[in-house]
Amino acid sequence: MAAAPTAESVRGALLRYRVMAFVVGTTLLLFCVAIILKYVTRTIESDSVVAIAHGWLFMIYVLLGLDLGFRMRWSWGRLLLMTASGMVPFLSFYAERKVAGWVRDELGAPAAAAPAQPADS
Amino acid sequence: MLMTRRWLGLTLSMLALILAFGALSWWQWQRAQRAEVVAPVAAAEVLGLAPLAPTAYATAVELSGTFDAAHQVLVKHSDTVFWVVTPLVPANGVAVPVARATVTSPDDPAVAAVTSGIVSIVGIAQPYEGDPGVAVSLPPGQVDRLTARSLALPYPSVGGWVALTSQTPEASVTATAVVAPISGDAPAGLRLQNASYAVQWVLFAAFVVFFWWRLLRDDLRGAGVDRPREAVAPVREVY
Repeated sequence: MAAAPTAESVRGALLRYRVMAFVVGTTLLLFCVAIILKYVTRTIESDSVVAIAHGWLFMIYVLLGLDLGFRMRWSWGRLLLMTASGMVPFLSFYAERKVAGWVRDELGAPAAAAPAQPADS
Repeated sequence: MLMTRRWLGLTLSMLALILAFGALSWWQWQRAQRAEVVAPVAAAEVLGLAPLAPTAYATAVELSGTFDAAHQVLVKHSDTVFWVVTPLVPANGVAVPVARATVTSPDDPAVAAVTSGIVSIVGIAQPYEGDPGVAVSLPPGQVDRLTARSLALPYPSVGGWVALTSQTPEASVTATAVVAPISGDAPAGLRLQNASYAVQWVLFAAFVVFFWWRLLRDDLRGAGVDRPREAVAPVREVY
């Protein structure tokens, strides 16, 4: 997060965020399966391993989301939305595409043709 | 700039979030240290006429019956440590010796405080102590170790005994419980999952502070200073 992040650094941050969104989304689904196996069918005794893994991966996901959001100077409401989407099964997969779309919209166009940005806060 | 209404609101929100996350962390930390609660099983499932199987040592058991005060013994471990062991006779007639209390002298009021009527107990199943077969002369009603032979019951009893944890109705005299010599898998360890969550809540609180600091820094510098180069066109009011 240098003084003036370039498009390249934003793209790097976006890639990290997208990878982590996929990992967290998948782990969250695994966690849901583990909870069902533990409390509903009672086939496994403990879901701790998945729970702990998901906890720390989610932590990294939030960090990477904040990093990307800061670079894009997004509103805190949007950052909150990004963070929260990691807690809902399946939603992180959708959020990850949505976020990539935001970055594309704001950054993807050639510099000369950068359109006037509507305030999103 | 710090005195604006927006910054007052942001700072108060930050403090509220830190307090909330701190409380959540503390809650998880408490949960991480709680003891494992093992539901007791019916005593008959593990305590039969045969000696208690090693796999059943330290099992939490429950049963109901009546205490037979006439066949109570004091197991003398030292001059100041006596276990009060009373047979509890359930409906099937096979008695279960229950170590009700540990007392410092045979005159302790807990010794005579045998609850009458049907009593439901929860305790920890234990194997009999080793029997070297050496006679020790002790006053009547006292034995030197807890074995089937030293109890000398005139009716059948199970191949083990139970260290009392709780009974219903409660005894008229509150006494020190006998600590089961063989305890279950130590639940003293930290629960990793909750300990992990406790650490994470603290880190989330740190994120909040960092976030607040970022907003403050950006505000002081003026919005748009480190916007991506490609999108500098209009300086927009962010946040």
